[in-house]
Amino acid sequence: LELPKNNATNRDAEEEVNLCSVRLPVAQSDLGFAIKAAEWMGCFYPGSAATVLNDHVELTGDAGADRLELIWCAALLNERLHAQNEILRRGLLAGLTQ
Amino acid sequence: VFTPLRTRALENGSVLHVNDDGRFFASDKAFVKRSLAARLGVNDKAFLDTRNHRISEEDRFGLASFQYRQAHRLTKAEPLDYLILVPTLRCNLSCSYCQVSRAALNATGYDWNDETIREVMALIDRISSPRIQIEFQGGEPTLRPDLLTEVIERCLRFEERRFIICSNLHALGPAQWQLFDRADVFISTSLDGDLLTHAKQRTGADTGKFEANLRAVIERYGVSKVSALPTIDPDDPPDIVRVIDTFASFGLTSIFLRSINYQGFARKRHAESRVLSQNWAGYYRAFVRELIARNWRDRAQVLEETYLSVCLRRIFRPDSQRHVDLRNPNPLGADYLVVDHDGRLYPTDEARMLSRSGVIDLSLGQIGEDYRGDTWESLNRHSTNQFDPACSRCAFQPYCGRDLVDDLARYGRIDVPRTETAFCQRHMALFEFLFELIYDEDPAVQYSLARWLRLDGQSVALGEYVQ
Repeated sequence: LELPKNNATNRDAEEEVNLCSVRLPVAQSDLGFAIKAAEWMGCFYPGSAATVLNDHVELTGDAGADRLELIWCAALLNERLHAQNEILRRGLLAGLTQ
Repeated sequence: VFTPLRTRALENGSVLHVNDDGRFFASDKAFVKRSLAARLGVNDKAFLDTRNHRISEEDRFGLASFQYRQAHRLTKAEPLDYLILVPTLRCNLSCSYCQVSRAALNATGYDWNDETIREVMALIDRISSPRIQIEFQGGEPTLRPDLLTEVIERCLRFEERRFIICSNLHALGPAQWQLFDRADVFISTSLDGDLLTHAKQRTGADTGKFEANLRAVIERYGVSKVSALPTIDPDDPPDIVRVIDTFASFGLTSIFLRSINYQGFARKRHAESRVLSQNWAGYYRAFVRELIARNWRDRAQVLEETYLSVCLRRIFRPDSQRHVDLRNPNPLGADYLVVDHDGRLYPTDEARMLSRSGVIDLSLGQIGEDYRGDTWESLNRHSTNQFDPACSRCAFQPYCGRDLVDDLARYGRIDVPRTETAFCQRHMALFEFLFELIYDEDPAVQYSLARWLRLDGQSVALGEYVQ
């Protein structure tokens, strides 16, 4: 993942709920993790959503741009850790519960 | 390198990192970006290594140590030593939200019959543990002081005994007082916020009688004998300060704030009750903030919201409690059992309500029969949060639990995506709130957290922060 440039815009400033949108780059090596992170983001952070398109992700939500970026970074790291550690995690847990 | 961490962005602008063994730290966004870019510095790595957040896959000792810590988080079902007994379903009150769990005061056929009594005694005799806890539920169990006495006397062989009588304290005569006089008997009652709300929801014109009895019980035995639980209507909650004042006026310091849990037909009439409202979340947070402010103003008395303290101790002291509503795995029909008025066995009291309301029959069988049959097997096969795709991505998983019966009650099934369940949403909000408090530098907040952890209130750093 390249360090993102903040590209926030307030689209609907006059609406009751201000929807914010942020576009961040996604490295090719992170694409699989990013797609999964985007799938889960709305579940763990209601009110926010992510769509991965080729080399970037489009984040939208009722939180501010900084918050959306923070959520995305945490979600992407979480997904990467989840994938990288899944097999060993399951193995260790199976050893405990048997 | 094995890095058993899960991450979550907190509302306060930091990112929480939770190890599978429950230890945690928070960081700023820059740390997360360094992690993502594989540019962790020497200090970052040293921090992670010394706290065992990174373990070499060749480090067998390190991995075994990790497993040991993780094992402390998992529930190991002990042998049966906890019974919830319903000697009668009859009740002398008719509260607005209690239809399926009561029968009219003079109704017949709603008390244990002779055969059930014999089987209850046989069940107690078969318990091999040196300790026992029995909760008498109803109906109003004090309508049958004879049955309560018979059960208690049957338990005298246990080294440790604890009996909790869940009573509305509406009618206390000599037989009830004689039971309460026992040192191993405790009383659990309801106090719906303030007395006005209590009158509206429960006791009507007789509220004065309840108030006098509650005061008499506390004066006679002290507050350690009594716990009182408020049931709050989230759409019309009582004034927060008035609720706290009412509890404090009785000397009651632990307030278990519960939203009305509609069952059966009542749930159908209140379809919105399947989802926890934003009103409730706001009310709950404001309530806890008020407790914190009050504890800081008046150090003579520490008030707590009971379930928040349970969750807090799940984070820091996983071995210190046995709360059957929040544990993982959550074995059913193992260390505790419910015996209904008709001798039917249930894995939980909520399961009993569900069966009575006709939603789903979760009865494990009749007392005296082998209850570890198909229903027991099916329930226990799904009693963990460990392998669920949502839970395995959730930073709060090590602290959280699993409540199959609640899922069945609300959705009629157990395979609803976890993050869409009320149980998950409630606990995600609770743990998020707790970490917000843990990283709040306000000394008033830190004081209450320490006291709720049963510490002396001296300033202690509950969470580390990396930047």
